[in-house]
Amino acid sequence: MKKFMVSIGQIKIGKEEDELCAIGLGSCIAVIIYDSFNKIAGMIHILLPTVLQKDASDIIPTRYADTGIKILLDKLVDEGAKKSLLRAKIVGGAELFSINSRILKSDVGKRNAKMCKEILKDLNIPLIASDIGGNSGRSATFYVQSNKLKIKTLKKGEKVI
Amino acid sequence: METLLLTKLQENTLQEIANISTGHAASSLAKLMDKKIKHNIPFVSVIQLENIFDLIENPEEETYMIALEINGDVNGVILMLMDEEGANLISKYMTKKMIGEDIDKMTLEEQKELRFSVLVECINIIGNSYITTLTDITKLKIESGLTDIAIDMKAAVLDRAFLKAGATSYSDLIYIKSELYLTDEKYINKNFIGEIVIVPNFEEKDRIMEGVGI
Repeated sequence: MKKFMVSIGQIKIGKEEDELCAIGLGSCIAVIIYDSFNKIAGMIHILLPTVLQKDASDIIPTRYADTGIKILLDKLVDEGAKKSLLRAKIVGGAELFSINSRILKSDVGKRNAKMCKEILKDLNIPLIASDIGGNSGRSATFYVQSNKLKIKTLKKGEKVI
Repeated sequence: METLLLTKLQENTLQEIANISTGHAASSLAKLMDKKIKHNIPFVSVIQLENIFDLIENPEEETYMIALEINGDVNGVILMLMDEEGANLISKYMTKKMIGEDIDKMTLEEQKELRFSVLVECINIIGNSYITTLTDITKLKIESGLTDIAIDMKAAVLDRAFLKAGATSYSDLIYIKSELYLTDEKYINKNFIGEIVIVPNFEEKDRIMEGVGI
């Protein structure tokens, strides 16, 4: 059994007993795509819905929802997942509590969630469960064996979807 | 993708600037709290969002983050991170010194409100001593911007701050961290009250270097 830490802009693939873990999701979103029959799953930790400067030379495509989720899908298929069996869960996209609305607050979380849903729909991957929005940061752990997603927040404790 | 690194000279320069600035910031804070504060030697590193977890200790811990934007020749954020205990200590001593009231005797609602304004005041003072020192040394034009407070998991508040500092358009950021300690009071966390983090854009380090004549 391995525990994979997925930090911003990363994609990790796990099999059988593996766990995929994203810590401290604020406005970021973790998208988990899994094939429960072949026991394989992948997680991507997304920062923004889409790349801002299309012409920038050092774009990292896995940081963005529109480019990253497709890469995750390709990787899963390469690793032996069957596209028709793929399902998805998403978590994150919170607006952090802050007293001054102009600096730390933004609607990035909401836009991230919207874009992820759209992309999943385009790719024909059914969204089974989601925990998005709200005002608190989350930590998410996905258990590949059981397809369960455990979500931890500071104030509300743990829940499983 | 190639990883950008600082040369030893650049790293030492930034570390020294941060050291002097933190010294000034710590002594202003000490005056406001009427306590002795010491700080460690700042830690300087170039980070990519992909590996911030190697840098952050206890990413899931509840953290108070107060932020001050900086604009001008150098853009970025100055942050002060602390746990609840650190925030309580700072607000307790600052209210005592500044308005002569005991925060413990107030109602919870008053305490909360006062704590926020004290913390905002605190980042204004720390941030501006930082900026003053930086502009003195480099002769650059740097202005302080808006302030904010966020309370959440450390990793969650930090990536908001990194986004604010320009992680959207730049792949690398400079991360400068100095820790502050109270010297005459011991409490759980080895009398650690918080850390100051300054995150300028990687691209703008050259301006700082030019400013000091390197």
